[in-house]
Amino acid sequence: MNALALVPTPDPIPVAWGWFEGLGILTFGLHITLANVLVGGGLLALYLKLRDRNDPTASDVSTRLPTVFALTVNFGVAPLLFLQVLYGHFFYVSATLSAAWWLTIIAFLILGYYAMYINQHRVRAARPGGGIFLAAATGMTLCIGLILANVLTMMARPEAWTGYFDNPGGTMLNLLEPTLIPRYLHFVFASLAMGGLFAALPARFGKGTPEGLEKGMKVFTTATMLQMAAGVWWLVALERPVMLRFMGDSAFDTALFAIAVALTFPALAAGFRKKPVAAAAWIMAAIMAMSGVRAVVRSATLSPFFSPGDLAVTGEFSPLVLFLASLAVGLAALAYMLRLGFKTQEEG
Amino acid sequence: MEYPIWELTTFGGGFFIALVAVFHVFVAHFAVGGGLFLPVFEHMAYKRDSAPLLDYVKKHTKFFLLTTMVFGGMTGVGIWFTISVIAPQSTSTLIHTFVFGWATEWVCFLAEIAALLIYHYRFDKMKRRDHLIVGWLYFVFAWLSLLLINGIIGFMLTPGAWLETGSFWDGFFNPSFWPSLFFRTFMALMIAGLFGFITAHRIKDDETREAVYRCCARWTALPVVLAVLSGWWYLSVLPPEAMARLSLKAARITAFHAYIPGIAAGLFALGVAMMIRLPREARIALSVILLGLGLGFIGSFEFLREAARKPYVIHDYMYSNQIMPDKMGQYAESGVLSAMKWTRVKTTDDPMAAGKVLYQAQCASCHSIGGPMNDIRPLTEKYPIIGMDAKLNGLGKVQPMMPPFAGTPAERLALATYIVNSIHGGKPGNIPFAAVELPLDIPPFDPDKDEYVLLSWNNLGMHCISDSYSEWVLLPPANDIYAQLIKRGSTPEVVTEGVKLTYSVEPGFENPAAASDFWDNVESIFGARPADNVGLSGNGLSGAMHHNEALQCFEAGLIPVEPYPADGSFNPFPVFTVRAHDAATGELLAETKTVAPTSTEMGCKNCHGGPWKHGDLAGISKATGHDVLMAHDRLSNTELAAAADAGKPMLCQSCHPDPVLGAEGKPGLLNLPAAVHGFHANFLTDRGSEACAYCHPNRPDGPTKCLRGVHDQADVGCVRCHGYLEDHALCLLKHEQKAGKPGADKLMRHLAPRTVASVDAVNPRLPWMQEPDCSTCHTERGIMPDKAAANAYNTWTSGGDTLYRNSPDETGAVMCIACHNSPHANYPAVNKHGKNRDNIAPLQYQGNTRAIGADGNCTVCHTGQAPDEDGHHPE
Repeated sequence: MNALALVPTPDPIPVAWGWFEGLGILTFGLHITLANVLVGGGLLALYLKLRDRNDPTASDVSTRLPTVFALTVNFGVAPLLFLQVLYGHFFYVSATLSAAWWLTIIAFLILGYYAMYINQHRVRAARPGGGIFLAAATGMTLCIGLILANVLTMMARPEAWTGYFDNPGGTMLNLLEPTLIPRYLHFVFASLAMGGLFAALPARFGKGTPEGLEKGMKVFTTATMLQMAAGVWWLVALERPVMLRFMGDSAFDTALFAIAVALTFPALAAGFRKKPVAAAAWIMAAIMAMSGVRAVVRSATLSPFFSPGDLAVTGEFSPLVLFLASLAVGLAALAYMLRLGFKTQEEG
Repeated sequence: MEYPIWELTTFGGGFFIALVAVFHVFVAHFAVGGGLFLPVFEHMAYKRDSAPLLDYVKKHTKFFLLTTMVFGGMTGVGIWFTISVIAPQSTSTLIHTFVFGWATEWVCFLAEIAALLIYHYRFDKMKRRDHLIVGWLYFVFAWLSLLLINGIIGFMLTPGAWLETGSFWDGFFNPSFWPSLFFRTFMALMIAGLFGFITAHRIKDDETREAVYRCCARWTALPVVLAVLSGWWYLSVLPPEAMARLSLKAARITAFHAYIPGIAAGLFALGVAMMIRLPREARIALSVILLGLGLGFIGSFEFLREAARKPYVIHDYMYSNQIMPDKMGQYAESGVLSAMKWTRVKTTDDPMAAGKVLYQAQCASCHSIGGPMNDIRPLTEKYPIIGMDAKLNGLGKVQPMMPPFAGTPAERLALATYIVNSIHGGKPGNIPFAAVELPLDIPPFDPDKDEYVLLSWNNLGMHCISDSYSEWVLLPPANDIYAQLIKRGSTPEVVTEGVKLTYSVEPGFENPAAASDFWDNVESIFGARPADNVGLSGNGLSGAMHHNEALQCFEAGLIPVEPYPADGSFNPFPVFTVRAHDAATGELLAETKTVAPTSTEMGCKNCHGGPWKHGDLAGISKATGHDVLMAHDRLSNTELAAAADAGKPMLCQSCHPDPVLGAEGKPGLLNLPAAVHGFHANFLTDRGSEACAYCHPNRPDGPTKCLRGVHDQADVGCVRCHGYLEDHALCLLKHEQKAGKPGADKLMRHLAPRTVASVDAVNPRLPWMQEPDCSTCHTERGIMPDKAAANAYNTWTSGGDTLYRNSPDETGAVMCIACHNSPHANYPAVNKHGKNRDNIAPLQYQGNTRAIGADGNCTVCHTGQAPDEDGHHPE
């Protein structure tokens, strides 16, 4: 069956597609950063906890994870929304083919989040047993990542969709996808790196633990190098035309990729120099650039089937103004509340 | 049609959406109301300088965070995840229409999360004023997120001008936006009060605890009242068709409708009761009960909101199974399978495979198979394939809760086949009845000696009996036999004086009461109690015939003959012997026989379930009859089933007028034939004469085969005189429409005429009094109508006196029916219970089966010189 015939007809979009792609890249960069911190923080804390149940860095990191959990989910909403606007007709198909796995994410989110809080409660109350919950929560976040990787790779591979005709029960996975394993490993190593950074950063501000800085930056540099290796694997696993876009076929894509890769070196250098703030700044820049690269990979992979530029545009601009205004107000309120919350600790 | 379908059986029918949504909605409202609750109580603690109260607020904050941010937040994402895979088409519409609404809501969520985390983690670590500001800001953003989602949910129920403009703002500020916003805001405050009760019992300080209880009571009771008032407002903005759906007597809607006032009253009363100093355990118990009531209140409201929206997921734009109404015509024309991108089954060659695909595409979004949500099995259990097919045919027409079936008749049949044969494992069909040759004695006639010719007939050709007497009756056992006595001669005469005519049924049929419960129920139905085996006019199974002066004949009306002879068989054609005697001497002048056709083979069971009542062949069983009443009760808000259960079955014509019984019925109601045919025609469109036989006793393989006369031999079926079922229903309904009966439009809305071009071209008619006119096809003496094309539909007799069965010949003396026999059984007829059972008179008097006098048999009556010209028929 011709895979193209399976692609649903998309709905029109209100404003030019670039708005959604741009907002998607931006918010996904923030989401994946937080997701990396959540997963990597969990893994790091778990590792440290296994070596020493009372490891202070493990306690410090794991008790901050519930907050990261909430923000990770929140920042996941926005890119998923913008993804649906441009690529919904691919995404819904993929999610439906994996519906049974897809819906387990809900259970993992609820249980994982609660488990993080239980761990926090036990650590703060100096009660044992938190490690089990931390392990469960981290395991669930890893599963969520794997399911998301499955669904988001399958959405870009309509050739794989024909499996539906043999399995309409929503249990399809995209395990034969060549990029799946390097992509997931890339995520896991990135998470370890960001987890290390998350442990190290507070020490820079006189919080957290001194060991956290040491251990954290070591994890950051090691994992970042592993991540680079996984990145190379991912690159070569891409379909050849997609890969070649980053090797000169497309000047813009190649430049973007080169910048993204280049940004990791100063981050790595800062890591070796145990400078977490600089490392964080460089790595954030790298993540944002990589978020753009990721968008290029998606659109290039889908190019035989669809280009977002083909979408009909209704031209209703005013709701975008509403959003931008609300975003400005929301961010101002956020800054204001943070200022109120942290301007003094003594009073109250 | 665009997206793949996640094939579900047990957990189909929106199970996952319901599972996630029920609790999310409750907690999400708590997230809004609780957002006001916290700073208000914190402010109160500062004002009273109450450390225990502040401590309560702090602990309640943690509870609030763990409940709303974890469970509420994650289930919110969960709803989105779920609808993406259960209803991708509508999700896509909502996303694309409101993307910046959703994005704005995301900003609100972000601010909410930040505010709540700061409020929680920085409690006691900030300036009081600043902490309160953060609390107020949390509420502002939480309420704004409610405002945003309220606009989108309201859009699905009342899209308003969006349907024309497609504008974000028209969809967002839709007609139900404001009442819904107020309603939800009050619900949110109430739920905050309910959760306040849950944590209040842990306050150790007596005074503080009582103060909190009192405050929470006010938070509960006052918003309940305001929510009910805004609910009223909400209802007032719903479109009339949505209101009509809410007033339907469907089990769950009725129940939820009934729950809401009771739950609201309970919330108010118990909420106020919490002000009283009750024992701690009692208050805890009451708190839990109140929380349950709160869940019930919001759950009932959300259920009704969704019910009001049915059969749409976006009102007037997309059906709940994701099908667009504006594509229905295309699917009906060229098929829905071919339009589905995600199936390889493109034809109905394998009906089970096609049916399965169609079930998943059109039914599974609301109906599980054996699961907790809208299980399809009990709903379709009663149907055989033809009934299921009819039910699917009628979806969304008379009953407004479901979308109409999308597709061709063949696809519909495939779906029906799948439901009956796969989900239910098949249903036995009707047993074919092989023709039998019952013995028949033709009375003797000596053309040389006999002075009289006695002709007898039944006036309808078939009298149907609805023998579900314990449930309802529309046609009682009441057969009419007529006779004309002709004195032979050169100028034959119809004799009406000086003679006495009698009738008697053949052996075996004398005691219908033995096999019928008509006489057990007749008093409730007709308000009279004739003796067993005596009919409503006082006639029994034998007796004297009465002179009918207007028709110059003799008649015995309403003879209560039933098709159940004493030997236990089924025979819808009992033979009556009619004798004419000299009134003075008692001498037998002439004798003949005629059948009194009377059948209970009415196919209600084809759609209403239950078995045949008698011998797996005929009769309306109690189960079938009861289901008819249940359907009537559901659709017309009656209490007929309960009345029947109480031993008070009713005559349909006690409400519905009907000329056949001279019943006037209730003013404004459709006459019975219009109501019955109009209703059922919606379920049986695009069929031929077989549609008639689903209900009337005319199955080709059935035990009656009512249409058995010359027209049947010429392959002229029901529809050639009465029109297709749609035509038939429309002419009856149009009569009622012209009479200003309000029910006609509803039944006519989905019916399109087939024999004539438009509804305007349909000539209305009064049932029983205005029937097809023979002369429409039989235009000229001696010329046979075109067998293939002649059509009598749409030309009706002017009234009862011009009906074939009431018409005399050109001489004005002999009735048409006397020589040609009953309608549906005109000579020569072929009867399944004996080939010549209907042809007794022709065989008796002229030795063939044709109409009396045909083939030059004038001498049957005209002795001596036969007349030169035909004086009986019009030119």
